[in-house]
Amino acid sequence: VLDVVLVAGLLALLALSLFFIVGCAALEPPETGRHGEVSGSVRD
Amino acid sequence: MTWIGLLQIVIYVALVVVCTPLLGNYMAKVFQGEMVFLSPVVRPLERGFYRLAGVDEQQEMSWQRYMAAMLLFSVAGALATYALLRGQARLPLNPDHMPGIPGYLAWQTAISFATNTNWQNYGGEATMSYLSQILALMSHHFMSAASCIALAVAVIRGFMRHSGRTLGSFWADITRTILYILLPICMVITVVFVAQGIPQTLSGAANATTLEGAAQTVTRGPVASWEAVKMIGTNGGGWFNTNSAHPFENPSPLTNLIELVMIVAIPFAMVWTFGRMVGNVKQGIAIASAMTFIIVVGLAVAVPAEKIGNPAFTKLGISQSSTGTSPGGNMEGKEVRFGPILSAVWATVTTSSANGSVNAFHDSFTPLGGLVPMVNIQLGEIAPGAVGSGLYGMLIFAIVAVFVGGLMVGRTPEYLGKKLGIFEVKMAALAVLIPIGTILAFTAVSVVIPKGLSSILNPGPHGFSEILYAFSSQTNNNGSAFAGLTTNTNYYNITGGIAIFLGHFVYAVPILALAGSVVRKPRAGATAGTLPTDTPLFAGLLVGVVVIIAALTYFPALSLGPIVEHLRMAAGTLSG
Repeated sequence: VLDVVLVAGLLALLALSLFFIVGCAALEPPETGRHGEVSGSVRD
Repeated sequence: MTWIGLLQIVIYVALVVVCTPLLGNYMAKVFQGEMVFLSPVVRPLERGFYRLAGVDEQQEMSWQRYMAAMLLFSVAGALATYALLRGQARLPLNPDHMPGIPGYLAWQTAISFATNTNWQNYGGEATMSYLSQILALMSHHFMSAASCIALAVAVIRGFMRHSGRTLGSFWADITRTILYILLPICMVITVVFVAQGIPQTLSGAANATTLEGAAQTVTRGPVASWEAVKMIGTNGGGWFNTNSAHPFENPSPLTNLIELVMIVAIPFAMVWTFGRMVGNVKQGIAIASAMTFIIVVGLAVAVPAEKIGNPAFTKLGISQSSTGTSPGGNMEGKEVRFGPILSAVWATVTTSSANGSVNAFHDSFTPLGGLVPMVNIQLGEIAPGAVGSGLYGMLIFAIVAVFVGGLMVGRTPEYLGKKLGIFEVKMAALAVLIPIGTILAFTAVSVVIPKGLSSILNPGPHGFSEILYAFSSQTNNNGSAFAGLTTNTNYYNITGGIAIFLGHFVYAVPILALAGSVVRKPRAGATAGTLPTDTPLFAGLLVGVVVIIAALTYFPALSLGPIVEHLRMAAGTLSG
């Protein structure tokens, strides 16, 4: 039983990390515009 | 310091300075798919591995796929290691009849080795079979180091490529790292180590009779090959419990010197590789200068602290001066062969580089001597850091530095011609905050609950330092132990494993996301308004940012541990 719980715990950490990848990807701005600037960036 | 001591330091620095461009240029060629002198031999082998694994080396990956590949590869390795450790009693290559590893310990060990941390809650010679040491653990010395280097290379590609979409192939990067870099170096160094007297055998423990006639069991194994990759891969986990203080891991002054060079060889070369791949070596030199400054400051504090020793002894009339028979200084917990200076140098280098091997007992250092390794780790081990994470950890601080610099001069922050927007700064902030939050949260919980407190051997500020060091070392994937804390408990195995996982994989996600974002941007040329990032001024700004962000974040916690301990020692009230 302990082995099952520990392996499940490791897989849960893996799932958390994969979810974090998805979360960070969702924060990515849309495609870059002129000169690579993105919406909301501080302009010169 | 004697002239021999000074000569050793000069030779050490000279070797690092010579190795850095040689290895850095070589690695840049390897990661850009160019021919190197090993190609005629290694390339067919490399192709064979791809064919065997069904990998197309030309198929590049987005940052999400690259990160997911690294995660799945590492977790699969951790699961295999867990199974091997649990079942080692029933598996071959166990001449000393080691029993299976308990579940919680196997779990923590599997995560620890899969992440290049190598924090060990066990003594290798008394716990692990040869199969476990070689297949379950030493294989991770190669694979975890290779995946760290691969991640750094992916981040470099993010900055070097112009309006790209991909960061390379994780499978090709780790294969090349192992075949072209780690294995060849380890094969040469292993032979040197064997010549120096480090054992390389599968014959099991030797039974000897001492001069007094007592029976003694001398444990051994394929230590030379272990030691080589342990040092070059900034792994740090020892074959023996006492790590590089053990005469079979570090038998001579020459091995001590070689091992010290190996700790920083790839991390510094990686910075050179970065400069070469982005087309401006001066960018790498600026980062290397900042790293060197941080490590020199650490040495300037730790070495005198250990050489001067404990003032309480001086008040009692006990001499701590060096004599013909004693190296002097604080000798508690130190190998007589190395003395206080070489022990402090090792402690500083191993913690600023994420290696984590030890040749002395950090718990027995003076408060300031122990503060330096702890701060080095808490800075994120970026001077020069681990084989890969040192570079990308420092690049995160570089991004924060150009952001701060951009705010100062009123310009859009940019680094290496890439304009940095909100997303990049958010990701950099996340990467900075994840380890800090993990370390402080686990430490705070552990100092208030009985399961955390019951493992402390030295109550008071020193006990607090033991817990803070343990979570700092595990989260930042150093692996060296302050020791003095009994961490082979269910509580510390579980919390340690989680801290390591968060500090390695979750920390890497925003860094790769950042690389995935900047790779899409075009590289603009420098203008009059561009903050130059290849100058001593920028190196100074970088050091300032590192100190302000990381050091001040930990100052309250450090005040409760080594700082108050130092003040009480100076006042002569430490035992009160």
